[in-house]
Amino acid sequence: MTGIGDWVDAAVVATVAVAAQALEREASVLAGGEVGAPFDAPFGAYVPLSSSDSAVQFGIVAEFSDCEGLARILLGMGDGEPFESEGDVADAVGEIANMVAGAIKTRMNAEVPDIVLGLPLCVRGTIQAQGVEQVVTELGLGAMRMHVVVLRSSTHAAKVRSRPAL
Amino acid sequence: MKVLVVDDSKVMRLIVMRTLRQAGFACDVTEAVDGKQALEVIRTAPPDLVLSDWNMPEMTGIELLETLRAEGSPVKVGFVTTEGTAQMRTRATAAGALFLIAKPFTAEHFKAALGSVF
Repeated sequence: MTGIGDWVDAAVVATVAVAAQALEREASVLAGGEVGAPFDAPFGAYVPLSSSDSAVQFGIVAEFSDCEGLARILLGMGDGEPFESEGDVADAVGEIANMVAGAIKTRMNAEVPDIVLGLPLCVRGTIQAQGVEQVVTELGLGAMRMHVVVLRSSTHAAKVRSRPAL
Repeated sequence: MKVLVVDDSKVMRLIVMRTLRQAGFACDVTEAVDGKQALEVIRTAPPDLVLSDWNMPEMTGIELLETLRAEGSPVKVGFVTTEGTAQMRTRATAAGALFLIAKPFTAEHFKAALGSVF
Protein backbone atom coordinates (compact mmCIF):
# COMPACT_ATOMS: atom_id res chain seq x y z
CA MET A 1 0.00 0.00 0.00
CA THR A 2 1.46 3.33 -1.01
CA GLY A 3 1.03 6.66 0.74
CA ILE A 4 0.45 10.03 -0.82
CA GLY A 5 4.09 10.90 -0.11
CA ASP A 6 5.20 8.19 -2.53
CA TRP A 7 3.06 9.72 -5.28
CA VAL A 8 4.17 13.28 -4.50
CA ASP A 9 7.84 12.28 -4.60
CA ALA A 10 7.32 10.51 -7.92
CA ALA A 11 5.32 13.44 -9.31
CA VAL A 12 7.93 16.06 -8.42
CA VAL A 13 10.84 14.00 -9.76
CA ALA A 14 8.89 13.19 -12.93
CA THR A 15 7.93 16.85 -13.45
CA VAL A 16 11.54 17.99 -13.08
CA ALA A 17 12.62 15.28 -15.55
CA VAL A 18 9.96 16.19 -18.14
CA ALA A 19 10.81 19.89 -17.76
CA ALA A 20 14.43 19.08 -18.53
CA GLN A 21 13.70 16.76 -21.46
CA ALA A 22 10.60 18.20 -23.14
CA LEU A 23 10.96 21.87 -22.21
CA GLU A 24 14.74 22.03 -21.81
CA ARG A 25 14.28 24.02 -18.60
CA GLU A 26 15.51 23.42 -15.08
CA ALA A 27 12.63 23.15 -12.62
CA SER A 28 13.14 23.61 -8.91
CA VAL A 29 10.90 23.17 -5.90
CA LEU A 30 9.95 26.52 -4.37
CA ALA A 31 7.43 25.54 -1.72
CA GLY A 32 4.79 23.08 -0.73
CA GLY A 33 4.58 19.47 0.24
CA GLU A 34 2.05 20.03 3.00
CA VAL A 35 -1.03 17.84 3.02
CA GLY A 36 -4.18 19.86 2.45
CA ALA A 37 -2.43 23.20 1.94
CA PRO A 38 -4.63 25.58 -0.10
CA PHE A 39 -3.49 26.97 -3.42
CA ASP A 40 -4.79 29.31 -6.05
CA ALA A 41 -3.92 28.56 -9.66
CA PRO A 42 -6.69 29.02 -12.19
CA PHE A 43 -5.64 26.96 -15.22
CA GLY A 44 -4.18 23.54 -15.84
CA ALA A 45 -4.68 19.87 -16.55
CA TYR A 46 -5.22 16.71 -14.53
CA VAL A 47 -4.54 13.09 -15.45
CA PRO A 48 -6.05 10.17 -13.51
CA LEU A 49 -3.86 7.24 -12.45
CA SER A 50 -6.09 4.38 -11.34
CA SER A 51 -4.92 1.14 -9.77
CA SER A 52 -5.88 -1.51 -7.24
CA ASP A 53 -3.76 0.48 -4.77
CA SER A 54 -5.37 3.89 -5.03
CA ALA A 55 -7.09 6.47 -7.18
CA VAL A 56 -4.73 9.35 -7.91
CA GLN A 57 -5.22 12.56 -9.84
CA PHE A 58 -2.04 14.31 -10.94
CA GLY A 59 -2.30 17.92 -12.03
CA ILE A 60 -0.19 20.78 -13.32
CA VAL A 61 -1.87 24.12 -12.66
CA ALA A 62 -0.69 27.71 -12.93
CA GLU A 63 -1.66 31.22 -13.85
CA PHE A 64 -2.88 31.29 -17.45
CA SER A 65 0.07 33.44 -18.54
CA ASP A 66 2.46 30.82 -17.19
CA CYS A 67 0.50 28.06 -18.94
CA GLU A 68 0.90 30.06 -22.15
CA GLY A 69 4.63 30.22 -21.44
CA LEU A 70 4.84 26.44 -20.97
CA ALA A 71 2.87 25.89 -24.17
CA ARG A 72 5.11 28.24 -26.16
CA ILE A 73 8.21 26.38 -25.01
CA LEU A 74 6.70 22.98 -25.84
CA LEU A 75 5.65 24.18 -29.29
CA GLY A 76 8.87 26.06 -29.99
CA MET A 77 7.02 29.39 -30.31
CA GLY A 78 8.54 32.82 -29.75
CA ASP A 79 7.83 35.00 -26.71
CA GLY A 80 4.46 36.66 -27.06
CA GLU A 81 3.59 34.72 -30.20
CA PRO A 82 -0.21 34.35 -30.20
CA PHE A 83 -2.10 31.06 -30.06
CA GLU A 84 -4.89 30.17 -32.45
CA SER A 85 -7.13 29.53 -29.45
CA GLU A 86 -7.11 28.94 -25.70
CA GLY A 87 -7.67 25.31 -26.58
CA ASP A 88 -4.11 25.07 -27.89
CA VAL A 89 -2.80 26.18 -24.50
CA ALA A 90 -5.02 23.64 -22.76
CA ASP A 91 -3.91 20.94 -25.20
CA ALA A 92 -0.23 21.72 -24.57
CA VAL A 93 -0.56 21.80 -20.78
CA GLY A 94 -2.57 18.57 -21.01
CA GLU A 95 0.26 16.95 -22.95
CA ILE A 96 2.84 18.12 -20.41
CA ALA A 97 0.69 16.65 -17.62
CA ASN A 98 0.26 13.51 -19.71
CA MET A 99 4.02 13.09 -20.13
CA VAL A 100 4.58 13.57 -16.41
CA ALA A 101 1.82 11.07 -15.61
CA GLY A 102 3.52 8.53 -17.86
CA ALA A 103 6.79 9.12 -16.03
CA ILE A 104 5.01 8.74 -12.68
CA LYS A 105 3.59 5.41 -13.85
CA THR A 106 7.05 4.23 -14.84
CA ARG A 107 8.51 5.31 -11.48
CA MET A 108 5.70 3.70 -9.46
CA ASN A 109 5.51 0.57 -11.61
CA ALA A 110 7.54 -1.63 -9.25
CA GLU A 111 5.26 -0.86 -6.28
CA VAL A 112 2.00 -0.55 -8.21
CA PRO A 113 2.16 -2.61 -11.42
CA ASP A 114 -1.45 -2.16 -12.50
CA ILE A 115 -1.65 1.62 -12.94
CA VAL A 116 -3.96 2.70 -15.76
CA LEU A 117 -3.63 6.24 -17.11
CA GLY A 118 -6.71 8.17 -18.12
CA LEU A 119 -6.94 11.02 -20.57
CA PRO A 120 -5.94 14.57 -19.58
CA LEU A 121 -8.73 16.82 -18.33
CA CYS A 122 -8.09 20.55 -18.68
CA VAL A 123 -9.61 22.87 -16.10
CA ARG A 124 -10.16 26.57 -15.63
CA GLY A 125 -10.74 27.43 -12.00
CA THR A 126 -9.85 25.64 -8.80
CA ILE A 127 -11.26 22.18 -8.28
CA GLN A 128 -12.86 21.39 -4.93
CA ALA A 129 -11.39 18.09 -3.78
CA GLN A 130 -13.36 16.60 -0.92
CA GLY A 131 -12.68 13.40 0.93
CA VAL A 132 -9.28 12.94 -0.63
CA GLU A 133 -5.72 13.73 0.40
CA GLN A 134 -4.20 16.65 -1.46
CA VAL A 135 -0.60 17.82 -1.67
CA VAL A 136 0.49 20.82 -3.72
CA THR A 137 4.11 21.58 -4.57
CA GLU A 138 5.12 24.85 -6.21
CA LEU A 139 7.84 24.60 -8.84
CA GLY A 140 9.70 27.35 -10.63
CA LEU A 141 10.83 27.26 -14.26
CA GLY A 142 12.77 30.44 -14.71
CA ALA A 143 10.26 33.25 -14.23
CA MET A 144 7.30 30.88 -14.50
CA ARG A 145 5.56 29.23 -11.57
CA MET A 146 3.47 26.09 -11.61
CA HIS A 147 1.82 23.89 -9.03
CA VAL A 148 2.16 20.13 -9.05
CA VAL A 149 -1.01 18.75 -7.48
CA VAL A 150 -1.51 15.20 -6.24
CA LEU A 151 -4.95 14.07 -5.08
CA ARG A 152 -5.24 10.57 -3.66
CA SER A 153 -7.91 8.34 -2.23
CA SER A 154 -7.87 4.63 -1.59
CA THR A 155 -9.42 2.63 -4.39
CA HIS A 156 -11.97 1.29 -1.91
CA ALA A 157 -13.07 4.82 -1.03
CA ALA A 158 -13.28 5.77 -4.69
CA LYS A 159 -15.52 2.79 -5.40
CA VAL A 160 -17.82 3.69 -2.53
CA ARG A 161 -18.21 7.26 -3.83
CA SER A 162 -19.04 6.07 -7.32
CA ARG A 163 -21.81 3.75 -6.11
CA PRO A 164 -25.16 4.89 -7.54
CA ALA A 165 -27.64 6.42 -5.11
CA LEU A 166 -30.37 4.06 -3.94
CA MET B 1 7.29 7.97 -47.64
CA LYS B 2 3.71 8.42 -46.43
CA VAL B 3 3.33 8.67 -42.65
CA LEU B 4 0.09 8.75 -40.67
CA VAL B 5 0.41 10.49 -37.29
CA VAL B 6 -2.31 9.47 -34.84
CA ASP B 7 -2.81 11.41 -31.62
CA ASP B 8 -5.81 13.00 -29.94
CA SER B 9 -3.63 16.01 -29.10
CA LYS B 10 -3.16 18.50 -31.93
CA VAL B 11 -0.11 19.84 -30.10
CA MET B 12 1.50 16.43 -29.98
CA ARG B 13 0.78 15.76 -33.65
CA LEU B 14 2.57 19.03 -34.45
CA ILE B 15 5.51 18.05 -32.25
CA VAL B 16 5.76 14.59 -33.85
CA MET B 17 5.76 16.17 -37.33
CA ARG B 18 8.36 18.73 -36.26
CA THR B 19 10.54 15.98 -34.80
CA LEU B 20 10.31 13.97 -38.02
CA ARG B 21 11.68 17.00 -39.87
CA GLN B 22 14.38 17.60 -37.24
CA ALA B 23 15.42 13.96 -37.55
CA GLY B 24 15.84 14.44 -41.28
CA PHE B 25 12.97 12.25 -42.44
CA ALA B 26 11.26 13.65 -45.52
CA CYS B 27 7.70 12.39 -45.64
CA ASP B 28 4.14 13.18 -46.61
CA VAL B 29 2.20 13.35 -43.36
CA THR B 30 -1.49 12.86 -42.77
CA GLU B 31 -3.17 13.07 -39.38
CA ALA B 32 -5.85 11.24 -37.42
CA VAL B 33 -7.26 12.14 -34.01
CA ASP B 34 -7.83 8.61 -32.69
CA GLY B 35 -7.58 4.95 -33.61
CA LYS B 36 -11.02 4.85 -35.16
CA GLN B 37 -10.30 7.67 -37.59
CA ALA B 38 -6.87 6.19 -38.30
CA LEU B 39 -8.44 2.85 -39.18
CA GLU B 40 -10.66 4.54 -41.77
CA VAL B 41 -7.66 6.38 -43.26
CA ILE B 42 -5.55 3.20 -43.42
CA ARG B 43 -8.35 1.17 -45.02
CA THR B 44 -8.79 3.86 -47.69
CA ALA B 45 -5.18 4.82 -48.38
CA PRO B 46 -2.62 2.74 -46.48
CA PRO B 47 0.45 4.78 -45.46
CA ASP B 48 3.97 3.39 -45.35
CA LEU B 49 4.18 3.97 -41.60
CA VAL B 50 1.77 4.72 -38.76
CA LEU B 51 3.07 6.66 -35.75
CA SER B 52 0.40 6.28 -33.09
CA ASP B 53 -0.25 7.41 -29.57
CA TRP B 54 -1.40 4.64 -27.23
CA ASN B 55 -3.99 6.20 -24.96
CA MET B 56 -6.75 7.83 -27.01
CA PRO B 57 -10.54 8.09 -26.93
CA GLU B 58 -12.75 5.98 -29.22
CA MET B 59 -10.00 3.48 -30.09
CA THR B 60 -6.59 3.18 -28.46
CA GLY B 61 -3.38 2.69 -30.36
CA ILE B 62 -3.00 -0.94 -29.37
CA GLU B 63 -6.61 -1.64 -30.35
CA LEU B 64 -5.86 -0.03 -33.71
CA LEU B 65 -2.83 -2.27 -34.25
CA GLU B 66 -4.66 -5.42 -33.16
CA THR B 67 -7.57 -4.59 -35.47
CA LEU B 68 -5.22 -3.99 -38.39
CA ARG B 69 -3.45 -7.30 -37.87
CA ALA B 70 -6.76 -9.13 -37.48
CA GLU B 71 -7.78 -7.70 -40.87
CA GLY B 72 -4.49 -8.88 -42.37
CA SER B 73 -3.01 -5.42 -42.82
CA PRO B 74 0.80 -5.46 -42.93
CA VAL B 75 1.13 -1.68 -42.45
CA LYS B 76 4.12 -0.72 -40.33
CA VAL B 77 3.16 0.67 -36.92
CA GLY B 78 5.20 2.33 -34.18
CA PHE B 79 4.00 3.88 -30.94
CA VAL B 80 4.82 7.34 -29.62
CA THR B 81 3.39 7.36 -26.15
CA THR B 82 3.71 8.68 -22.62
CA GLU B 83 3.88 5.18 -21.23
CA GLY B 84 7.03 3.17 -21.68
CA THR B 85 6.80 0.37 -19.14
CA ALA B 86 8.27 -3.03 -19.93
CA GLN B 87 4.78 -4.56 -19.97
CA MET B 88 3.60 -2.11 -22.62
CA ARG B 89 6.69 -2.61 -24.74
CA THR B 90 6.14 -6.38 -24.56
CA ARG B 91 2.48 -6.01 -25.51
CA ALA B 92 3.33 -3.65 -28.37
CA THR B 93 5.97 -6.01 -29.76
CA ALA B 94 3.68 -9.03 -29.42
CA ALA B 95 0.99 -7.20 -31.37
CA GLY B 96 3.42 -6.45 -34.17
CA ALA B 97 4.67 -2.93 -33.44
CA LEU B 98 8.09 -2.02 -34.78
CA PHE B 99 9.03 0.21 -31.86
CA LEU B 100 7.74 2.23 -28.92
CA ILE B 101 9.08 5.74 -28.39
CA ALA B 102 8.35 7.15 -24.95
CA LYS B 103 7.45 10.83 -24.54
CA PRO B 104 9.24 13.12 -24.07
CA PHE B 105 11.43 12.31 -27.04
CA THR B 106 14.12 13.93 -29.14
CA ALA B 107 15.06 13.81 -32.80
CA GLU B 108 17.77 11.35 -31.82
CA HIS B 109 15.14 8.95 -30.45
CA PHE B 110 13.30 9.20 -33.78
CA LYS B 111 16.49 8.58 -35.76
CA ALA B 112 17.26 5.49 -33.70
CA ALA B 113 13.75 4.04 -33.93
CA LEU B 114 12.82 4.99 -37.49
CA GLY B 115 16.20 4.68 -39.15
CA SER B 116 15.56 1.18 -40.40
CA VAL B 117 12.06 2.04 -41.63
CA PHE B 118 13.00 4.93 -43.93
